[in-house]
Amino acid sequence: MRVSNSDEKLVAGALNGSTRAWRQLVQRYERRVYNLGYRLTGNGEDAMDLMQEVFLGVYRNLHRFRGDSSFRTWLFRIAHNKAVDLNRRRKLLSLTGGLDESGEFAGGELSARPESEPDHGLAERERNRLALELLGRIPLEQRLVVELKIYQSLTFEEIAQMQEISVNTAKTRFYAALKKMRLIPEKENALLEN
Amino acid sequence: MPCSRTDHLLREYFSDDLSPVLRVEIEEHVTACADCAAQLQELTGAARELRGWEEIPAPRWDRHMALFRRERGVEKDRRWRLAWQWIPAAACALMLGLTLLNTSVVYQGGALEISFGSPELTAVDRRLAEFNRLQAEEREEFAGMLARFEQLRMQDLETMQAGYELLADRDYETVRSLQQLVSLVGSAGVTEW
Repeated sequence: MRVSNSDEKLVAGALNGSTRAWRQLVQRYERRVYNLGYRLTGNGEDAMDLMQEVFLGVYRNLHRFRGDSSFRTWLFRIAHNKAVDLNRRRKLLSLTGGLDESGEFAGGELSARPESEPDHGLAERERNRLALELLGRIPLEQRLVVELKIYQSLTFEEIAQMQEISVNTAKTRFYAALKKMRLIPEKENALLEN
Repeated sequence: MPCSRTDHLLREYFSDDLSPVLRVEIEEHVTACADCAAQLQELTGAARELRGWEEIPAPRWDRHMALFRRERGVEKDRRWRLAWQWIPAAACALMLGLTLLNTSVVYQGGALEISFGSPELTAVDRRLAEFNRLQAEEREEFAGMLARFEQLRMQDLETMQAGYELLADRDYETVRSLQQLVSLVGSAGVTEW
C-alpha cells in the first residue's frame, strides 16, 4: 500500500537533499500554484513564470519553514509575495481589460482564453474565461484576497496576516471585490453570450 | 429604495465567523428587503461563477529539478568547504590529545608499538621486565647448579662409604693376620723358650 508522505516529511527530505521528496512536494502543489498564477495574471506564460518564482522562493526558504503554520499556508504566503513583487516589477497585473463604463468587455490579457491547454474542454474554458473576466474587474490587492479566500480557502485571519492588514480590512476588501464582480442578471446573460 | 443596512449585513454574511444568530437575522432581513435580496443574489452569483473555475493542468516543467540539483550542488560544495575548514582544528585536537596521553609510537622488531604514558616510565618498565627475566634465568641456573652439587655430594658419599668399607675389611684382615701370627708365635715360643 502506498502511503503518501506529509508535507512536513517531504520538506525534511528535501532539506536532506532528497530529489524524490522535492519532486513530490512540487508535484503536489504545482497545479494549484499554476492555477493561482493563471487567475492572477490571466495567461499561461506569466502563470508559469510566477510558478517558477514561487518554487524557487520555496526552495531557498525551505530551511526557514518552522511548521508554525501548515506548509500550504506558508507556500501561499510566498506565492502572495511573489505575485506582489511580479506586479511591482512588470506591472503585469495592471490590466487594461475588464468591463468599461457600459459594462462591456474592453479586452485585455484577462479576457484571453486558456487555449494553450489542449485537454481543456470548451465548457471548462468558458467557465474559466468568465472567472477571469470577473477577476479582471478588480485590482490586485482585492484579487489576492479573492484568490486566497475562494480558491485557497484561507480564513480572513490568515489573509490578514499575509497582507499585514486587519481582519476587518480583509473582509472589506473581499466584500468590495464581490460587489465589483457581482453579476447583474441582464449583464450576466450578455457576458455568457459573449 | 436602497437599504442602509445592506453593506454591513452582506459584508458579515461572507465572513468566516458568522454566528447562527446573525445568520438568522440577515436571512430574515433579506427575506423582507428586496434590495438586499437582489444584491445578495448578485454577490453569491459572482462567487459561484468564480468557484466554477476548472483547474488547468500545469505544463510539464523540470526546471525545479535542475534548480534543486544546482542549489544542492552549491550547498554540498559549500558544506565540503566548511568540512575542510574543520580539518586543521580536528588535527590540532588530535595532537593535543596525543600529547596529553603521552602517546608514543615505536617501530621495533618489525612491529608497530603504540603506548600511552610517560616515555621515561616506559623505559623503566622495560628495564624492570628485563631485570625480572634475568633474575628468573639466574634463579633457574642456580637451581640447576644446586642439583648438580647435590648429585656430586651423593656420589662422594657413596665413594667414601665404599672406601670405608674396604678399609674396614682390610683392617679386619690385618687383625686376623696379627691374631694368627700371635697364636703362631705363642705356640712356637713355648716350645723353644
